[in-house]
Amino acid sequence: MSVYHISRRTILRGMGVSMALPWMESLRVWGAGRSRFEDGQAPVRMAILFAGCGFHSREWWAKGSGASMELGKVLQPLNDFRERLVFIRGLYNAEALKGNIHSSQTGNLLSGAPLAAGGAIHSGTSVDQVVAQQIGKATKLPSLVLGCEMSNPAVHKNYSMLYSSHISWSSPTTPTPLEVYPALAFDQLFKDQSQRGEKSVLDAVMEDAQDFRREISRLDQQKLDEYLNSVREVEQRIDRAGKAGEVQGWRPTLSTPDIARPNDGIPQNIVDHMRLMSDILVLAFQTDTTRVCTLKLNNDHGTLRFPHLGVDYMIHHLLSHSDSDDWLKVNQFFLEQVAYIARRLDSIQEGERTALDNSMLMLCSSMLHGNHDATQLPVVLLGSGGGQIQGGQNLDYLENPDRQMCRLYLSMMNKMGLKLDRFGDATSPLPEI
Amino acid sequence: MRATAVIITTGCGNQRVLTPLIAHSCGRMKIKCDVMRAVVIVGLAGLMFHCWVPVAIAQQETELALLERSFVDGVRPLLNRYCVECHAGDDAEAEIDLGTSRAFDDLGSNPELWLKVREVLNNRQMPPEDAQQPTATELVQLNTWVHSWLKNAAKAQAGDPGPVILRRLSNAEYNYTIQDLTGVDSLHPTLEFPVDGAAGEGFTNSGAAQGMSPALVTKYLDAAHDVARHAVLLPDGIRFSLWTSRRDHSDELLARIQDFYRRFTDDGGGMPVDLQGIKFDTNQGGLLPLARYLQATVEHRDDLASGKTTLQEVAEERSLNPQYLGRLWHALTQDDSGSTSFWLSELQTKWKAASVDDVPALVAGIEQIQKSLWRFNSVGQIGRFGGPASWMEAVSPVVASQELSLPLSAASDRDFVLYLTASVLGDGNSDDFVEWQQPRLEFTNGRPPILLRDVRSLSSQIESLIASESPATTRYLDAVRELRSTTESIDAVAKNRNLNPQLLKAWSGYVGLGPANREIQGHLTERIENVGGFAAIHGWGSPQTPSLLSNRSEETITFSTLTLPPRSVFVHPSPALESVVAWRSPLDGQIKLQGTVADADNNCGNGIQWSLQRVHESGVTIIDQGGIDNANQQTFSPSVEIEVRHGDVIALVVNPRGQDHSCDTTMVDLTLSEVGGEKRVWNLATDVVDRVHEGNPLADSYGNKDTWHFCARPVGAESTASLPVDSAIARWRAAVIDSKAQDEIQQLAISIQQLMTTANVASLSDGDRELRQQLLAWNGPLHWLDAVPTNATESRSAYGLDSAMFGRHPDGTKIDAANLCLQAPQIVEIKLPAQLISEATFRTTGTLHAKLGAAGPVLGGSVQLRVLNSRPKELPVSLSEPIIANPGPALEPLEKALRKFRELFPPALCYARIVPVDEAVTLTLYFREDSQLQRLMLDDEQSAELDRLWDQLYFVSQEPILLTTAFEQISEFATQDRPDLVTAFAPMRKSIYDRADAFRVRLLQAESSHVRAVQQFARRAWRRLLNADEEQKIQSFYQELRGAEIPHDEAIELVLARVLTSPAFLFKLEQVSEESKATPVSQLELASRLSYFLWSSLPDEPLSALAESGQLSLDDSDQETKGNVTGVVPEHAEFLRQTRRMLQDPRTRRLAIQFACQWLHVRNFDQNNDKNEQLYPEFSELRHDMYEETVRFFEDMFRNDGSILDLIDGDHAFMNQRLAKHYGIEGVSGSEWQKINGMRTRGRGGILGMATVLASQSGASRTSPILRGVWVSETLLGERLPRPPANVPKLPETVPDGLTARQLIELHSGQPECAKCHVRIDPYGFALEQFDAIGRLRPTQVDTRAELVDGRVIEGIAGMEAYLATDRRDDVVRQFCRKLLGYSLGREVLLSDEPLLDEMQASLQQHGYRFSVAVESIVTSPQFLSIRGRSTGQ
Repeated sequence: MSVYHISRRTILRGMGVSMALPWMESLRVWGAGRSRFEDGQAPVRMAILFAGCGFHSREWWAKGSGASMELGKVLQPLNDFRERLVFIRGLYNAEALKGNIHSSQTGNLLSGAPLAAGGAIHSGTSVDQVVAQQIGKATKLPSLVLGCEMSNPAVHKNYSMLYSSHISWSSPTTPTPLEVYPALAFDQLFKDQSQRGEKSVLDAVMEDAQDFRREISRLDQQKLDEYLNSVREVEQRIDRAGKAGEVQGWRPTLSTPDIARPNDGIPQNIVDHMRLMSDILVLAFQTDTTRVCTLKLNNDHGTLRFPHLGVDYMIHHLLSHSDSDDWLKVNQFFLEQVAYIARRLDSIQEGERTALDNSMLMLCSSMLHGNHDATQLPVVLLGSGGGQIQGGQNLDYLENPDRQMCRLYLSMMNKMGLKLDRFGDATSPLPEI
Repeated sequence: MRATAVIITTGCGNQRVLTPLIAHSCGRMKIKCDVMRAVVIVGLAGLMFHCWVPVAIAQQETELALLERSFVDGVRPLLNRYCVECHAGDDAEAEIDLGTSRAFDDLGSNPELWLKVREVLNNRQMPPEDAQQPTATELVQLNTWVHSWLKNAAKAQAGDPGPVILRRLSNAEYNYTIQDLTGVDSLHPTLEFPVDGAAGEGFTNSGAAQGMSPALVTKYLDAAHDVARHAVLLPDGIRFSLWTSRRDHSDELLARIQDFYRRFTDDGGGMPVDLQGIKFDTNQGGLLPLARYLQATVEHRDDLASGKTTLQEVAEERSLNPQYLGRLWHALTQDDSGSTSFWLSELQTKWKAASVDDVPALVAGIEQIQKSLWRFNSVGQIGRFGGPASWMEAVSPVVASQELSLPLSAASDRDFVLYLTASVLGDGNSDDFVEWQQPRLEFTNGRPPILLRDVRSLSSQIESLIASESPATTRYLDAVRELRSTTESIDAVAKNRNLNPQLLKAWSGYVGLGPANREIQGHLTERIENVGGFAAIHGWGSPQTPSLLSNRSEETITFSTLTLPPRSVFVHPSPALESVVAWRSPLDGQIKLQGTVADADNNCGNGIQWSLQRVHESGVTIIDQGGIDNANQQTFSPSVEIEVRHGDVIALVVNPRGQDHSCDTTMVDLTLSEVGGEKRVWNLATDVVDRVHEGNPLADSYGNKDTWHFCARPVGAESTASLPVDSAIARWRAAVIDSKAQDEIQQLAISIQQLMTTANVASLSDGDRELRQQLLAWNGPLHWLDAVPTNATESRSAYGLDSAMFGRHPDGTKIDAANLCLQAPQIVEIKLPAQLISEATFRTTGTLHAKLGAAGPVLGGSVQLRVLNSRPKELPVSLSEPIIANPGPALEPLEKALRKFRELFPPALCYARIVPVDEAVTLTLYFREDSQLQRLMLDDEQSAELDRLWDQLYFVSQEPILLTTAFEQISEFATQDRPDLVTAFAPMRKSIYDRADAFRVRLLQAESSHVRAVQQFARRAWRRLLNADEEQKIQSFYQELRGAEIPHDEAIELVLARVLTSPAFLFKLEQVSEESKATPVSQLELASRLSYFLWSSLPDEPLSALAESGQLSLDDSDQETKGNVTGVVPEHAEFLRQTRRMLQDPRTRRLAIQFACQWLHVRNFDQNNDKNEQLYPEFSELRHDMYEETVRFFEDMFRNDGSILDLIDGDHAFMNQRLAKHYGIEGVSGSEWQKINGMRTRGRGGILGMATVLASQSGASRTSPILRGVWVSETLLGERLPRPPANVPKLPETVPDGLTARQLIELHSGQPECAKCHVRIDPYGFALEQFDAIGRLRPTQVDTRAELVDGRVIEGIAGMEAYLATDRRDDVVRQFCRKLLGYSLGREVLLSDEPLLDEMQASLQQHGYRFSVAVESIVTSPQFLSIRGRSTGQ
């Protein structure tokens, strides 16, 4: 077959001038630390798990540290990991205290950014996407953004429910669309063949867009640029397809999936759905298809039901307004997902460490418990980020004046090789992490 | 408490707009009416002694000055006193800075600030309860000022198009657009897209919420490819299909043609055919709908005759084809008395007397006749030389002679009576001399026939022979025994013993003790190799059948229709020759047998018969036998050991069954195991597969020569009657073979003789009764027929006919001696003996005797002949049976009459199945035969349509190319068995290939039209005209792909995908001017705005045509003066005409879904998964109906211009039976949706009684008055509730027993920090408590009385609706307008939109709240018509 080619490169060069990525400008980054890779060590992976509406108000706690750490009932499923987790109390996002409830507490959870109210959408690029945009080129996918509940298209209390349905934001105006279909998430990871002629189509479309761009308003140009950047990204992915994202001297323990492609559609049953999404997260890390993943287990203001727990009279959000035993059961079910992922990762041996050791697995919510209290957030962190984080810690920042959640993100980015001056409302990482 | 009336005292034109706001706040603030009134008057006197005149800047300035003065004098001190303590400086709470240092100008330029203030004042949030409170008067003063200021600010900006962020198509819009573009409603490309977010006024069509990402681009790309795959390339353009493969596209066109046929024809009527074991219906329709047409002519007979109605009217009324109806009417009513159309005139007579009830009989009569006038051929091989010419073929029932036959069979021992009948046709019988030629009995067992003439004498001879010889049976049996040992011939033995030698031979053969012929004959002599191109398959036989093949490979070989397992042997008989695999015994001893017979050609055939035989010196024995159907198999393994002597033969015989040998390839396996001795084993396959060509016969693997024989022999050559089991003869034979005592043998012989001669048949055992029947059958094993002397004798037998009747015409003329000639009408009765009829068929040829006259044979007469087995009561003429007439000119009128009838009543009008199924392999992929339809029914236009569809079918399926492949397959396949068929197919080759070549040229020529079609498609998809450059780009993109060796079809798909991935498709791009000023959007952009507003999709052709040609106009002058004044738009404005047209279109349903349902938070309710399945098992089914009700409610309102107030207190609802039952409404039946009135008293009508609303604002298993209350307050009334306090107390951990949802909430809301909000929301929910969590009425009355925050008491849904429809009407209408405006613009409603909202509201009030008034206000507003300039801020 002969090779056909139109001047895509030329176009891309042309576009580079007009299409700076606005959210990248403010970022000062000193390259990814290469040293650990040169040793043939596995890369650090970062996963952020989210559960909406907080947890049982009396059962989210930890006492003591290390092997003698005691955990509240909600956290019981993590009991086996006491020495490898960090329990963090007292962090918060100042911006989340403004505005109203739910949406305005969730849309900036991973960025600490102020949120636009009314009909507008504006948040901040979230920590996972900042990392993805920096290190994502090394892997087939910059990041994987998963969810177990469809987002809710409405405006609630003057804030778009986009906020309550998205924790990951690829730009201040763009929530990262999350994949709720296990099969499609699987395809994102492993479907490689792009159709013949697909690149030509993208080239042509880029050219079209250039033409249109001149004729529209500045505001619209920004919106169109999001599209153009996305098209370019897809093109680059096609280029990268098939090229293994391996680190020098290190190979992932798995090169192709060891589970079958899930069935089409969304599983009827939330247990299956969460399990499949958890498996896909693990698989993505194990095959090094991406190193950054967010998994939103439900929406803040979510409507999941839990018939398998015998809790089927109230949806998740309404349940969260009580401190009942049923609410506790539901909380534990969520924590079991975290434990499951941790266990799976821990069963993957990567050199001297396990994949869990080489990861950071954070679970958080947008409020401490169901009454919208965001003055402190529930956070727990598992895995040592490749030996960079001391496990078994029980940290309490509640009385610390600098208890910004974004400090934790600075710490986590640090482990991923990103050193930023500031992020959100924070200017320094948490020293303990 | 309405303060509205009081304040219209200033005489200004505009307070109307202000009053609702004041009334509103008044209502909220619970200030006594009279106080309020006074305050308002005071407040206005101080602030508002001016009039607002639009666009009068000077006055606006004046107003501003007034506002400033009242601010400085009145408001500033209030702010200082009550607000600035918290709301000032850098730490101002909630970022509301009302600090003292700030001047009026500074505050005045900040509408957001005052909007916030207005909100907290409205909410009574501020000042907080624990702070110093302003007096009521001060509060009103502050409120009034804020409202006035905002009003003024709004007016200054009125009509601002606002910041509309570039919108892409929402998922819903994308779907609808694709559906409208392609015409394929089932496409849902966005099914697995990420869910859209909502922004602006809460709708997904707002640009702000529409993210973009690589993942989404990938989905767009995939969706575009997917949609493109649905493109069908037609001869002259592109269409879209539900399907994606060429096969499916072809099938779709096929279905379209079938639909076309169905418009004119009836279904059914297929003739079942058994095609080599596979059963088909030959047709699926295409029948002439005779009954419907006849019915019409009968029912309207009188009115048509009298001219009261016309054929055209009848045809229209009954959806009949006028052409055919006319033709039929004419035929039924024309004077036909002069013609000889026997059938038609008979039909006319019957028709004239017929009532509607007689129509089926008329139809049945015609159908009978059709059968003799038309014949159906199999379609699959039409076109080949010697094949049929058409599917439906005209035939004539008139014949010169007719073969007649009747198989004879009767209950045993009963004589058979047959009848020869001749009917006359009603034209006299003077020439009707029937000559029954050679009437005779024929036998299937190979006996020569017996002429009917001879039956009588033969009968009497045989009867006497049996009478004389039966008593000598013991002697015959003795002689048979003697034959075993003697060397004398049978004849000699017979002579010695004075026995009938023929009979003795028969006895001997029957009992099978005589020396049988152990010769094996009919060896296959030709080696065949490389069968089907497979070297592993070889064997013996001829290129044709019969043959024996073996597969010596280790693999199953499949070719043609055959499946040949590894290492196995196959036989194939021919119609007349059975296949025989024989093993000649090289030993004396006992063997065990086992084996398998299996069809190796599972795809067709009618199965085979098989038998396993032993040929021994003493006769032939059938060891086992059976038959297998197509695709079946049998194994055999006789339990007894078989005695064999050296030279005996074991033969496995395969018979083609019914002389039909097609697809009879049969796998045979045979294993013979020696019992005792050397225990040798002979297995056919093992012995033969590798060595089959070494010889025939073939040595076995032990070195015994000539052991295996592969032969063929005539079918039935070794027909061996088997002795009835458990009969005297079987016992006798066993006794002889076992050399039992003489006495015993003799005794058995006597019993055989007795059973032959006894009269007491009933006393015999079953076996003996069967034996008797065999022995006495004339054509049975004793062959009595052969034993009689050949000379004829006179006879008094009652069988047959008097031989004197034969050989002469009634007039005495001599004719063939075996023929019988009689004048019609007649019935001849003939009795035949039971012993004669086994395996017999009566046959004769019927003709008319051609009398010789002076000038040659006299030709004339017409009769119908039958051979029957029971006496007919009369001699009818059946038009479905052949008519015998002598050929010649006298036939012409008869033929003409037949033709007329035939052409009027063809049984079928077209071959509606199109794809032939009546041959295993077919030479025709799509068979078109619809000339009858065209001739009888179609006008030119319809014919052209049909031609076009056929042309598309040929084109899309690429039939001419496919046919070349099909042709090669069929000619190769068919000629395998029949080399003679080569000549039948050869002549077709050239035309088939020429046609394919021509088609390829046509395909090439069509390519450019497809590219043009994509350009055309882009125009629609991009919702604007393409410039030359863009057209060129599409063209060159296509060329580039072709240059990269991408085939045409695929390239077109890619170009389509590119069109659908372009920003021009995905985004609603609108051009802006360079200035800051807002400018009108172009007409094309306006058309899109309108269609996406009303239809969530692109403009349709009429709308875009108007826009493209610049005719989508509002009067220019009109647009100029619009502003925020209610302008009356001239009726002629095309734009509004289009708006109205579009509102009435079914696509407005999408507005119901995307706007109304989304606003009310019930969109996609049919997927609502919130309910407890145990508690509400019915919900998952009902939710679809619930949703449909809501959608229909709004669709009806929008399309029929209903009142928007109906959404509060409408009296109608839409239901089907299932939903009505759920609602407890009786009298609604069926799945159809109906509009039911009188629902208000039943708690339905309007949205509050809808299950969607009630259920979506409930919990999983119980109601939530809070959710419902919040929904009423926020969604329906547009109130903004303040943020809940931090640390709301938790609800009780468990629901205390016996508490209702209401009591539970009252418990919670009773706490003071909660009560502030809950007193405002809960009462709405309480009022709706009579409805459960899925919207049913609870069976028992619950407490639905609720006190609202303003002190009003309402009760139940009725009270709530009354309250909303009166006290809160303006709020509801305002909210509706706000949401509709926000939806239409795709953005949040701004302060600058408030004048427009005021105007909409006023206009609605004036015009009965018709929905169209709101829509027209919006689409003629500057917001809708124009766009901000490029350099406008924000």
